[in-house]
Amino acid sequence: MEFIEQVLNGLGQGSIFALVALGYSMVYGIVQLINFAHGDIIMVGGYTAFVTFITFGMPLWLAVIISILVCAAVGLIIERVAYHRLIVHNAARISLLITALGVSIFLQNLFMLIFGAEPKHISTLFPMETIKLGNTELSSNTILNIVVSVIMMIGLQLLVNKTKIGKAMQASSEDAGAAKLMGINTNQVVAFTFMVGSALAAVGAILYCNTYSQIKPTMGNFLGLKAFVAAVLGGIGSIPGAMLGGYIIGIADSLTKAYVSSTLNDAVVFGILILMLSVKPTGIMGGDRREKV
Amino acid sequence: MHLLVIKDLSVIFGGLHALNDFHMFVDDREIVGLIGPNGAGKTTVFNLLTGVYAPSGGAIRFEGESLIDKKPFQINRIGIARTFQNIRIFKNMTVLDNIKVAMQQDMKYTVLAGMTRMPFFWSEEKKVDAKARKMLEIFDMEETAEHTAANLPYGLQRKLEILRALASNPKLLLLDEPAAGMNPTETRELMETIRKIRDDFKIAILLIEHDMSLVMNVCERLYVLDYGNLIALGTPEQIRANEKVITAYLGS
Amino acid sequence: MNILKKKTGVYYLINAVLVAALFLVLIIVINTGTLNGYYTDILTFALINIVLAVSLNLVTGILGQLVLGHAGFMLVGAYAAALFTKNSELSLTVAFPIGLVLSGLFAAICGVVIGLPALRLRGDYLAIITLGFGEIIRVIANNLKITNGAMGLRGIDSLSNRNNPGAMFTYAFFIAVVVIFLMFTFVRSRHGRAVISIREDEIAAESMGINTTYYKMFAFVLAAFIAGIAGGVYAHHVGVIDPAKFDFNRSVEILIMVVLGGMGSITGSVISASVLTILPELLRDFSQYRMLIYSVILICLMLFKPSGLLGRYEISVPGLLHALIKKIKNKKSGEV
Repeated sequence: MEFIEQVLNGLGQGSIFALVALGYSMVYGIVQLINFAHGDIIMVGGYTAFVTFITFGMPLWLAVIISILVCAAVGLIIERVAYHRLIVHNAARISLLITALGVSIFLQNLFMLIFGAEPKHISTLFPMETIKLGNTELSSNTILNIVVSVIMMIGLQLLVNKTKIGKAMQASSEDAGAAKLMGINTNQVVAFTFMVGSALAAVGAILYCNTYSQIKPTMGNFLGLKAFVAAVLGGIGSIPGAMLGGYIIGIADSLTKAYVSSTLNDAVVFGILILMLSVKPTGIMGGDRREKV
Repeated sequence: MHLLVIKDLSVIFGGLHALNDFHMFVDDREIVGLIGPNGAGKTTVFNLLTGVYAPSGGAIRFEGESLIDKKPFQINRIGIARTFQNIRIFKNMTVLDNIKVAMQQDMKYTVLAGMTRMPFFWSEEKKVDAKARKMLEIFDMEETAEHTAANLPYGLQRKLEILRALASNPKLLLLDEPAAGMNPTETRELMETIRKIRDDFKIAILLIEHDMSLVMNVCERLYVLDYGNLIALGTPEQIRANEKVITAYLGS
Repeated sequence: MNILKKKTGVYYLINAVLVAALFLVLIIVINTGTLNGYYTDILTFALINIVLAVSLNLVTGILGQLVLGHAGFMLVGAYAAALFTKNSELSLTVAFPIGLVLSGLFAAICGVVIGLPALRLRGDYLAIITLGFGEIIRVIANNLKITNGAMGLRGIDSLSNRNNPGAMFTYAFFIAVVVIFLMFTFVRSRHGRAVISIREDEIAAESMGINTTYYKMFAFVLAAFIAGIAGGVYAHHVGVIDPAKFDFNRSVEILIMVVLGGMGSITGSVISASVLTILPELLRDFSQYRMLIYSVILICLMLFKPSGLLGRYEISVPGLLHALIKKIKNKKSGEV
């Protein structure tokens, strides 16, 4: 049952994409910005886990918490330092995109200077076991990834739908101007969104380290790209959409590696993006947003 | 035959009937007004007419040709030009270039002829340049020709937008609140200019306006929208006396 | 910026004379060996970068759409030209120009394939799709047999040799001059105005009869075409190409040339491309900090001076001369 194994593998990988896609989707929903630096937040999370867990030998739970906090802080700092001024002044979208790109390059090169360009090895964080289900074998990591991503999604749904700040996020995403007039502090909402998105990326980073046991400064590039494709595929702005997109991309990636070529998987993912944008640019679960004229 | 005929036009945005079985016609060289309270669906009519939104149902015919499924640029070339409620001029271009963009169709030289500066390029550009400057005279704006559009005062930006629309040689001009933000004197001048434009260019004008004095004075016929429904039509006198219109505006 | 002023003819003439003079001076110092091979190489690189920056400026500055995979088009062009000249029986002087046309065409075809889905959507999608394209095209070049994978192509002949050290420079120079000239004339034509109007307000442009999809596509594909040619020249200039030379960082380098010079300013791109090619060569010791510095420049520019150094202004030597003469005349008449 190799096929089923590959699909499950893909789901496990896709869970990581999904967590990252959630961050893209949330930020895009609020400020209509493709946060290029989001992929690099994962890299930050990965290195934080590396430093705390390997270098300082901290216990795992502490390393996880520190990674999440560091990522959330970095997300917040990036928003305050680089984007805030532009968002407030309603700058041209292209300026925001270029800034985001600048932040991404900055983070990558900063970490390259500190840690070197060579990949760092990180031994598995969680004990790994192989589980047998009839003829299918799957690793406990896969299950862990899926379970964690589903929990995160449910938590995020609850946050967005049940809490006050979550409702403020929805309102700002719908119409920032109107939300402001209704007394919502949109600045706070934007900052909070970046923090939550980055914290999710940290969780993604932990799972990434655990699955691939290797990190490098440019790891955010392709991971970010794939997660973004996942977000677009599912429908940008939609939480379940981002998850679904992540799983689909993960499965497509893993099946291509297994049955087509181990190097062309990125090209396949990219092909999916082009196809999706040609057929239904709003994504599987995305509603249509029309520009007011 | 009417110049523009709209029949049973409807559009639904996310379950909301923004426009319901709307119908209207506009004849050649007519000035027609489209009025109604805020959110009545007036601008939606413009957006449907110019192909910015796709209608959920109904028909739009211009000189007998259906406009449904046509793109905005095609509709402009067929002969409908518009202005926007919240001015959309090309801010970083000069006043003259703003107008020349709309005169795109007056020139025929190809990309290569333009890039290599063939004689054809110069003659056409000269012709269009003169025509564009001439257009500025309508609003006494010759002096501003080389100014960056963004630096114009608000009133002139509105006028520039009207000129730009006119420059694309329309047979029907759609004006979305042309008097917004103008003082009474300017509004009175604008009234005159609208009539003059109709006479000089021999075109029909359909306008959305909140300023009742302008609408009642300048329009020959009126259509009144409320919550996406057509509630009245007729001459300004008829509309003034219409119970439904009074209720819609003043509340019951 | 009125192109119909009477002085236009004179301006063209002055510019032509200046360009010819510049070329003569440079080719003489190169051919006599006053400028050694190393500096000639840098000069040629600067010219190639000028072509790349000007072409990217067409899409990013003038059309207003962010493209993050310009190096991808360059890669396609570089391989197309190199593979053609390597495999063709023709002599290099004939094969090279044909190869360049092929590089432009292949890059333009890639532009069409990417542009068709992406340009119908909002600008951000173009950014991400071109980013993806840039990475994917590299992955593909890394895996194909014909491109020789990650090893790349070696021994691509250069036109320059001991007897004619300035051959590649001459090619690069004239391609740059032609591209700059055509870009200027394009921007100041009805088609250029249409493209600018899309940057200013897409909905208004469309409702004024501008076929926005067509013009976006046109500008994008033209930029890809020119980047392809630049890639072809580059391949023959360096002699050795491999996919890693055309990575994301390369795309970013071109972008920063455009942003720094001023999005929409062609002369701005020329200046910043020259400076950003020559400066890093002089500051080799800092090379490991280069991308870090670039990223900080990008962020700071966007935060404090998003229009770049020149904004949308163009530097015109005849225009400056004219202003100078006027000033002197005024002074003289003032003295009398």
